[in-house]
Amino acid sequence: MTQASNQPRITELLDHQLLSYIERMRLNPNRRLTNRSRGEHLRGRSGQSNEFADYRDYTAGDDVRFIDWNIFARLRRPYLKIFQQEEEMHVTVLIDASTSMTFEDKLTRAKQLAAAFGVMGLMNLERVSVYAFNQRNNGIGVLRPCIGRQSMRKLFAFIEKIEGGGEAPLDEAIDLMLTRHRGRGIAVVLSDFLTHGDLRRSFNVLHSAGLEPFAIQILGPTELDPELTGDLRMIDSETGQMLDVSAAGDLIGLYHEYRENFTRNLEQLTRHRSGRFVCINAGDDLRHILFDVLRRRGWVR
Amino acid sequence: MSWPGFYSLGGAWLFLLMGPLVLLYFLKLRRPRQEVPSLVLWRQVLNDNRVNSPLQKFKRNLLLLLQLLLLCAIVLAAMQPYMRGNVADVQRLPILIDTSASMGALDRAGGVSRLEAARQQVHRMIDGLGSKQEIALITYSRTARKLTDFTSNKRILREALDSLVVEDVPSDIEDALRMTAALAQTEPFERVLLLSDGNFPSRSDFPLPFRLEYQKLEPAGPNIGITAFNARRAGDNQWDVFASIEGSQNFTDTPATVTATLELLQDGQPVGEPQRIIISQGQMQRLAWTVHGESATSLELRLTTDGFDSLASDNYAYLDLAPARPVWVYVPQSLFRHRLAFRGIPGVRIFPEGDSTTTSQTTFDIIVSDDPADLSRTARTRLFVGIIPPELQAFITTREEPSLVVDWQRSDDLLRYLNLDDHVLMTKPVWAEGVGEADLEERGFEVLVYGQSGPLLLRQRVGDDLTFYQLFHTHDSTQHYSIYFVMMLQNLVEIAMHQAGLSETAAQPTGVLPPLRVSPQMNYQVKPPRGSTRTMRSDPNALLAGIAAPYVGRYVVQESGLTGSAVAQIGASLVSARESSLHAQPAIEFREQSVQANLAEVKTDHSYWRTVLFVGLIIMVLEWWYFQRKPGGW
Repeated sequence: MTQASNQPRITELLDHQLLSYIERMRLNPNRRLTNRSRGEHLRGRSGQSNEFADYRDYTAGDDVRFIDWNIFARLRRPYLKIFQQEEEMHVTVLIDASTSMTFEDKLTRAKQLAAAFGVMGLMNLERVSVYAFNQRNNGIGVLRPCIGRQSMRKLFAFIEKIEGGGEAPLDEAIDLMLTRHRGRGIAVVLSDFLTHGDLRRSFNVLHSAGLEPFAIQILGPTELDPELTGDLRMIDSETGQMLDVSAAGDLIGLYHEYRENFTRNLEQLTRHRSGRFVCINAGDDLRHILFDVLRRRGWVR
Repeated sequence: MSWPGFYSLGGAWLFLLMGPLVLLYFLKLRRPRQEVPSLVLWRQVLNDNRVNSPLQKFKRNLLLLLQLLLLCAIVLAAMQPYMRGNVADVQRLPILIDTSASMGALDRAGGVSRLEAARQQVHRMIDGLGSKQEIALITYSRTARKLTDFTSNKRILREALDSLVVEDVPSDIEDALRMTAALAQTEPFERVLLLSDGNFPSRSDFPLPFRLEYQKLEPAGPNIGITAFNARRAGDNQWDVFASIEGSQNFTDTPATVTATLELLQDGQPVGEPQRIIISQGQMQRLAWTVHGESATSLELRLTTDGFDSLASDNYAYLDLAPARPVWVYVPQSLFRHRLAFRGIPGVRIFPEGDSTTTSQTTFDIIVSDDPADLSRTARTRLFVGIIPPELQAFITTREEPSLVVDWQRSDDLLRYLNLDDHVLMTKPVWAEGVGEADLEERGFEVLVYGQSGPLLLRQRVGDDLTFYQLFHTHDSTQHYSIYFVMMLQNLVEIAMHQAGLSETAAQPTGVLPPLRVSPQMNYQVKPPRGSTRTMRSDPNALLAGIAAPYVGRYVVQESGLTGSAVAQIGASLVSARESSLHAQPAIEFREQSVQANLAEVKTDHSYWRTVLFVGLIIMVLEWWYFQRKPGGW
């Protein structure tokens, strides 16, 4: 353990030990949304892989190379061997890098999770692409689809360079992402989802694009359990709008009620679109999130 | 219903601060700014109907409301609100507090004394004293004493009030009223509050120069006490001792009788068996004992009640008896007619005895002499015959002329039953030129018998000592031929017996002890039954006078110093029928007006600024708790 920590790290986002654990983890989507290109995910139909699936009668026009000649020698009837089809899955990671994510290490936690999901995809020979939207300078940053372990450094370099500071709504960012994205798979959305935009439409278009939404809401400790004393003038970090709030006994209670409703609403939006949703505390340990929260919920295995 | 007033109405100007307070609140100049990730949730929360309900709006402005309330409380406290009492308009109020013996009576077993009840009442008045009101505390029992000048300093008033103790003496309300009237000359006031249990005479000749509020305290419980304790000579070496026991007027139990035990102690030893008595309400019982009295002896009478007795100080009485001896009379041989007359009076021993001209006896009860050298002899009663007092020799001369008695004071003890009309004198005392009776009175002499041109018999009282000067000699008159000569000497013996306590004596009441004959110009220590020892100095006449005896018990007088020997032990007793009766007068009749007792407690203005300030403090704490507490705490 000590030796591992003294070694030069591949990325600042994940230490070696954690990275080695993550490399052995696999994504576990609800649906098998795959591309036709060859990959690691078995399809229900027959294909060209080495995995034997079944036999069927020979019909005219079938490739004679797949006739099982041993059976033909015994039974004097031609039977065709059928193999399973293996296709690849596109893992798309969307990182919300807006100003609101810069509070309380939310963006850091999002980048770490994005790296973890990316590593899982790459190590499972999935096609992995990363979109960082609402960045300070470029608006949206794209890591074009890559595959294989050799793409890991490129993945880490891209994620590490993400800086928070944009202020565009999340729904617009998803629309912009879908204009560039091709392929089916899962879409891991890492955001605090604190937006005035229409998230219902955003999840619909993700679903329509063949992406299973993996929505992870990252909230800071003060967003989960705010402290309010006296009279305050709150300023929105993204819009600069101000709101005067006076502490009163049940105002905090109402906040909690609204936050829970908001979270519950997001969860319903994703579940209705065969997706998954979880709300995590940015202050929680990354190991706890990966190996406890996500594994228990069946996101990874 | 009385409306509240304000001592400092000008403080209401501070209400104007409410304007800037409201202005500053809504300007929110100091509202802290806090950047948050997003206002999405907060906007939804604040748009909620529950937040915008009237109650929640009220809660949002609760801070302003609490701040206004806090400001109101502070301003009201600064205005010094008070609730008007019965003496709301009084700026100066002298309070007379009775501390006589009856004020020590308890209302019930284990209850509080009347003085304590009065003290609590005055404490409440002091608590409600306004800043512009002043109180002077005057206490009175046998005499009046000013405890404080007019002051609004509550600490001084409370300390003075707490120092009050009951004195076992009867009260003299007129002395207190005189002192109060004298106080009014320097610091005028209109009303005076009298706090008493009402145990004083119902009539007074005192002309009231102010309005008197007589605040009668709640009555005390039942009491029986010793109201008289005296002794009379009963033959040789014996005394008949009498005691009166009286019940108060306020027995409440049925039947209204109280049983008690009386125990008489002679020099600490019981005399006979204790006597059981039954006393009814307002009734008196007399009891008698016979004690031997060959030598000086001290008696103590103890009264023990079976039930509750509200006053303890009248349950003890003390009596000091002189030795039951003959009256010692010094008469020189030159006054053989006087010696002959004294021989016929029983209980008299004459010195020098027999035909001797000298005697070793130095102490006499009576000195009768015609020798100016005997003027230096001391006795409680002296009669000088044919001698003009040295200090009056410039005012009176004698002529060798016959004269008659013109008039005499028939009520005087020495001249009782005497008829001096037929006396013929061969000597004529004459006034000097321009001298009259007033000149003698200025020098302490009183004329008892008047001659044709001057006084014939003078009396001088120095302390308790009596000296008579007969300005003509007996053998120069027909006096010794009259029966009245013997009667006058008989009266003289009775006076001497009374002076020496040889015939009858009564318990010494509390107040001031009689002068003691001691060594002149010496310091003596007086140890009272309670309190600290007091040092007093005897006067040039060898009298130790003015010994205060405010408490029942024995007072020991001894010479100063660690090894000072006891000079006298004198017992002081309450023996006051009025104090023991605990009778409460419902009114006092003065010359021109009657003052009725008021049972309801006199209320002064009750200040509320502390209460208002306390409410302000609560508001401040409430505000702090409500707005500064941890969120989600409840």
